[in-house]
Amino acid sequence: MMQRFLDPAVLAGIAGLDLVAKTVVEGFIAGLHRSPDFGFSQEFAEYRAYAPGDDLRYVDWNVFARTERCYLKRYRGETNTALTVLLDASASMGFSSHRVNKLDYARYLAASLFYLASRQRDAAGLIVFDDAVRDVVAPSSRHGQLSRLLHALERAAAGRRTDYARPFLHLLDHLRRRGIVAVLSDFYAPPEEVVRTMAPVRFRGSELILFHVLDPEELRPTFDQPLLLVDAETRERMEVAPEYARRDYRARIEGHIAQLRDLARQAGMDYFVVETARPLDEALREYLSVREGRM
Amino acid sequence: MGLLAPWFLAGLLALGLPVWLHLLRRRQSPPREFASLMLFEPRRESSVRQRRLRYLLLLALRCLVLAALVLAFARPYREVAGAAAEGSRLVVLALDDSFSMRQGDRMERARREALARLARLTPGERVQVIAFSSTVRVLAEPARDHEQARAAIAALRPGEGRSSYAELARALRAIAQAHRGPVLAHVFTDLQRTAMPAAFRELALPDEVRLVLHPAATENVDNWTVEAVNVPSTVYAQRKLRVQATLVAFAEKPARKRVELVLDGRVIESREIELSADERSSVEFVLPELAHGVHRGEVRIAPPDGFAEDDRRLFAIQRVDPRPALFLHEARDRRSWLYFSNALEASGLGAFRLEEATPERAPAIKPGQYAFVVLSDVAGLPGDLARALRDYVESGGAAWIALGPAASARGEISVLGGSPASNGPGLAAYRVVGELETTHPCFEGQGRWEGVKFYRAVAADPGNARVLARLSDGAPLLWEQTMGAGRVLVFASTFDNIANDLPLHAVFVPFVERTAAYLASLDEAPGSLVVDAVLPLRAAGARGIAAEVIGPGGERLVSLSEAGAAGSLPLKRAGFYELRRVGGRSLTVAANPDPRESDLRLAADDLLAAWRNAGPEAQDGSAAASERTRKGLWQALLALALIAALMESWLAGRYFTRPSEAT
Repeated sequence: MMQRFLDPAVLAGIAGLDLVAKTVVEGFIAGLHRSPDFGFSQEFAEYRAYAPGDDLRYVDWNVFARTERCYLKRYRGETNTALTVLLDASASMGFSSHRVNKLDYARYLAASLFYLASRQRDAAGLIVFDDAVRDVVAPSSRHGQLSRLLHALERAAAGRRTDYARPFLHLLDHLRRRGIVAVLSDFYAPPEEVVRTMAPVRFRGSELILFHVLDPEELRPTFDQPLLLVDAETRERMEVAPEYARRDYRARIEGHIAQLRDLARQAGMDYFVVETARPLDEALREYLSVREGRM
Repeated sequence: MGLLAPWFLAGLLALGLPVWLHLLRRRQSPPREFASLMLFEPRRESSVRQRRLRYLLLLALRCLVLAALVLAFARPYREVAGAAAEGSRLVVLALDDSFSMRQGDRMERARREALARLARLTPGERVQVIAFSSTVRVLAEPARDHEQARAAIAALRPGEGRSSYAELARALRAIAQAHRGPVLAHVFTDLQRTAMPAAFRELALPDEVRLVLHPAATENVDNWTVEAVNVPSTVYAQRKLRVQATLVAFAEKPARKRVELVLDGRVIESREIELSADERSSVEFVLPELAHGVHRGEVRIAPPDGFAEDDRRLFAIQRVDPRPALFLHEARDRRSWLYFSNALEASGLGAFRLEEATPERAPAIKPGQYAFVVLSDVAGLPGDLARALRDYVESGGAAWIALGPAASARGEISVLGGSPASNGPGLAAYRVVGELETTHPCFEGQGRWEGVKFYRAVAADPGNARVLARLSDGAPLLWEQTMGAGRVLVFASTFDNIANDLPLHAVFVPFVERTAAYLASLDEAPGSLVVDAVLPLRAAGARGIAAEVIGPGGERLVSLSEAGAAGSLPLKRAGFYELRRVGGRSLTVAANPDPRESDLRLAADDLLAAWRNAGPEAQDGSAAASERTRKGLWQALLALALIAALMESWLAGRYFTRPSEAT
């Protein structure tokens, strides 16, 4: 029943990103059925020797009573990490062939990720960009961070052209600790350029997940007559034959995805194609699998 | 191939409409935003070419619909040769059997060519044989067996009627309408110019009829004929008569001819006259005093020319005694008798011997012996005479009743019954004639009635009678009423120059003469008629009186069953016809061929070509040209337009409807 709320078309009818994120994540978690792979309960993970600065609340006093040594008892859900979402808000993200455009879908996904991170007490941050950095919320796990993030997501609107260099330079300047960096974009740039721009983040020890957000019409155009197409970012006009759109274009977009996937994997990044007509749980599952690997 | 209405081709200009629409549609193609064109290739040329190709197909279909419709309205046809058209085709062999076909070997030539044409037809092809002159007769009904047609052609002989191509065209139209398929009409005729109707539209033939003319005469033939003989059909007095004959030269050169008057087989007089080219000339003969009885005569040209059958013109003349007529008047009224008798005598008709009588000595009168009876303002009649007069009229007699003061005072119209209302206005006022039925025999050939003043006129109700004249105030002046087989004329005034001044006007004499002749039925039949004219067997309303007609060969032309019922008889042959009536006089009438048949000159070539509605190649009547028939193509074009419209609709649906599901 809750799966229904992961449908983007249903989420579009819910006002407020906080409610959307809660609906998605609660529904998603309810569908996990206590999977051993993704524990969010207080399951024991490890003991770690106390170090100055650790929170005394996590000291296992029973062990200390027996051994007179301070150990911190850690659980799976308590392996903190930092999530930084880079949200592409270029003009091409405003495209849609149905009720939910790509930017809305990316916002739902980002909000869900933030909500999930908030449940796990992970720090979360946001960078909204197009050809420049439009909005930045520094990663934090403080109280009220979720509200700030959601508010920043609300403000994001489709802007101009895409430039990956600037947001990643900004990210590298402010990336203080290792964590997970999720890039939500349609990646209308040469795959080599995309990977080359993002590779330094990986070198800093952070995990990088590329969520390639695409509309079904971008994957499978359905032109039935010659059309004069206008590029959403460059405003370039081009007359396109339907046969080309059905045959040649599909091959090219599939080739583009395959090249991006291959290059991303070669660079140690995770790559995931997100189709805006599909539920968000697949994207969440991808995120959690990556996070699991960081524990 | 050809077009019957080529001016409809102007509709092809409408082809510009779909072209314009397609160009306009190209310019109005709305742009559509897409996320990125990074992965599209700018294949602009191929894209446009692709669109043009598909749209051109749609454009071609739309143009095809319009072009097919326009061409269908232009009514194209193609000529189908021989075998292709023979299946549903009816071949009509029409032979001219008019009087002019007697000249030379025209009839033999027409028969020969018709038989040759019949022999060239495909066995089993439907053939109909007709003969035409002033009417059309079917000699062989449409049949695939050609034997009956062959026998009918071989047995055909020329008649004495007048040829009429208008009648032939009318018959061909009827045949085409009944056949509902192509008709090939072979017409074998001498192409007389006089057979052409006055209005060319009477020759119009439907598209299904293909006309091929086979001339039985190829050049003009000089001919001279007696066009008319002017002689009275009846003479009443012992006197010499002048016979005036009109001769016509249908020839290009003058000729000297001898003209003879023959009466009862004896040449009475002979004249030599010079006949100018293409002109009419008159010859006058004097007949000696005739004995009582019927005399058969003719005026003829001697020696005979190249067309001997039309060199004579028959006429019949009979000598009879004047018939008695009775004029009844009051003893004190001498003026009416004076004016009426003098008017009848002055007319020169001589057909009547007018007797006067007064009611006092009327019982001795037997009305049956009179041609007509005049009752001039008679106050009253003895009962026996009134009954005798009524019986006389009902059995076919005629009465002329003049109403005046005496009749008005008596309060009853003699013979007819009914009462006159009053004697009309006094002398102070007069009326004139307001309406006159000038076509009635009583008023034929008369002058003006405007000056005649009527001081008194008896007002009477004519009832259902036919009113022939009315006064200026609308009161009836002269009306005719039938009683049994006879007729009664009522004149609402008198002949005495008191109630009116009619006797003093010039119209009085012809009025009395024509009315008397009408009442005595002197104009029933002239002495000479043309073949195909109709001979009236009895007077109007005289139904039941048997009549017998003896034809030129002495045969009886009216059967016993028709003798009492038939009103008229068409004269089909030239010669003398004798009409015998029970209780009436016999009448002899001469019938002559129509003089227009003597004009043997050919019709104009352009007129014939227009009638054939064919090109020069058909002029020679060759077999190849004559066997072709027109087949309309408009039905096929309409079907093509329909199919193209359906394809256009289907294709447009595919072009402009977005698929419901992506593949």
